[in-house]
Amino acid sequence: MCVDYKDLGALTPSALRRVRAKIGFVHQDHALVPNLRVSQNVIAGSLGSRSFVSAVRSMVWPDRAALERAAAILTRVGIGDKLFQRTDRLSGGERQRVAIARALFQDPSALLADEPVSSVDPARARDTVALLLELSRERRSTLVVSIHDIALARDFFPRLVGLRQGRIVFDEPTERVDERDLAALYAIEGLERVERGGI
Amino acid sequence: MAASNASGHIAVRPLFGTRGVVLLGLFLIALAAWFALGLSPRGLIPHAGGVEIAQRFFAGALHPAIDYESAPPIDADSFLVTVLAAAKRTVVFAAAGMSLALVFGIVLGFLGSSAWWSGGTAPSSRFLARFAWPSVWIAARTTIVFMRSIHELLWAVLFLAAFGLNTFGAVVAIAIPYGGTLAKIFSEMIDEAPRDSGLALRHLGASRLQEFWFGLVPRAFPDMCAYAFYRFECAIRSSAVLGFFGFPTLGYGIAQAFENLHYDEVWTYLYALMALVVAVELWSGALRARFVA
Repeated sequence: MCVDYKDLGALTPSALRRVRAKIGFVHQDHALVPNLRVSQNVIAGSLGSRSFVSAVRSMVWPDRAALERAAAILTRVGIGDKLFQRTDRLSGGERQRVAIARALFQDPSALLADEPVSSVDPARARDTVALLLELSRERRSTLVVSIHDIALARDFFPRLVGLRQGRIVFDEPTERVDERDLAALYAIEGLERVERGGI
Repeated sequence: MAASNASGHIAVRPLFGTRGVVLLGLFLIALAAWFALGLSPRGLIPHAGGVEIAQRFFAGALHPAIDYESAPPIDADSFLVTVLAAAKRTVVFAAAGMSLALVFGIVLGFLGSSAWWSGGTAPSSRFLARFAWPSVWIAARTTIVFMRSIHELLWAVLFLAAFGLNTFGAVVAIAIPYGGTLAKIFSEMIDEAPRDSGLALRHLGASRLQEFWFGLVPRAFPDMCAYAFYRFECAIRSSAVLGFFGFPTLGYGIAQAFENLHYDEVWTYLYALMALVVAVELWSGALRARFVA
């Protein structure tokens, strides 16, 4: 697989770290460290560009600049008051915001979100997708979201990629995706279906 | 699970599965051990003099001594001060031993955990991955087994023979087996901790070392803390027993009181030991309550 024309399998570990540091990933289950503070989880987003000693310092005694940046990002995603809370005291929706903030703290050139709306109610699902879109427009970065809800994908994303069992079924601007494409995507019930939208 | 096959017969549940055989085997081994030792409840019936000693001993539980039972040396502290000083030294020995054991436990637990060595990211070179790292892991596991297979009292006897009645010897005697046990349990707790947060850090570019210390260890930390507290409680008991070899902890007072048949004094020392254990328990309980959100 190639990223920026670089074959990931052929990279040295440190070159691979540099590539990974520029890709923000919002995990389906958030994958935060529950017994650390929100600030620590957010600042962990910068581990990819830190040496071990600098990482220890940033996790144990973060400097003012890092804390202020974390606070600004948390405010942007709507939970600015939670900076020094323990992460496991937050609600599921708030934890998802922390996971998004951690990805933003990386200052990524691409943001990937794995099923960000699978475990939230429909109203919040739209909020979350809208937030991800706004954030990547502000930052002019790529956004790729995997999603099961076709209506949601159609409403928000300019480009849809239909995936079935790891194969691309269609890859078109949203307005050109028609019933035939969807029929091909869902031809046999019970198979895994993933809908991707990107800008 | 299909409970019936194509021809409609219901699968027969075996009368004795593997589990049943293993349980029966264990029961038979236990029975064999009892017979081999010739154990019988009659062994617990004391001889005539023994009954009286036992009565006097257990009567002491109701009225522990608050003063020496016979005239002490002229310059001796009062009895309760002596007990308190012994209790304090018991804690000091245990704390010194535990602090050294924690260093052993953290370093060896880190080297001995398979989560660290089998992380799955590209190793730095083929030679290191093939030979150097596995031999470090094996060396760490072997050291851990060696340290904890010898009991602290045996280490104490060994150091007593080598260095005489040396405080540092007593502390090291506690630290070695405790360090080995901590390392074993720490490495297992780290290996069993959820991996998702560590993997997430790897995906955002963290090195293996960062992934381990910031993604994995924090997940195991509450359990590690609780276990370290439990071992501290054990260390207090071990430190007390070291007194029987002449170190100035609670065990020293117990041994002397026993020799002089001062059973009330023995109970004062025993109650002091119990108070220490309860105090550690309360402390660790309060801490655990804060860990669980």
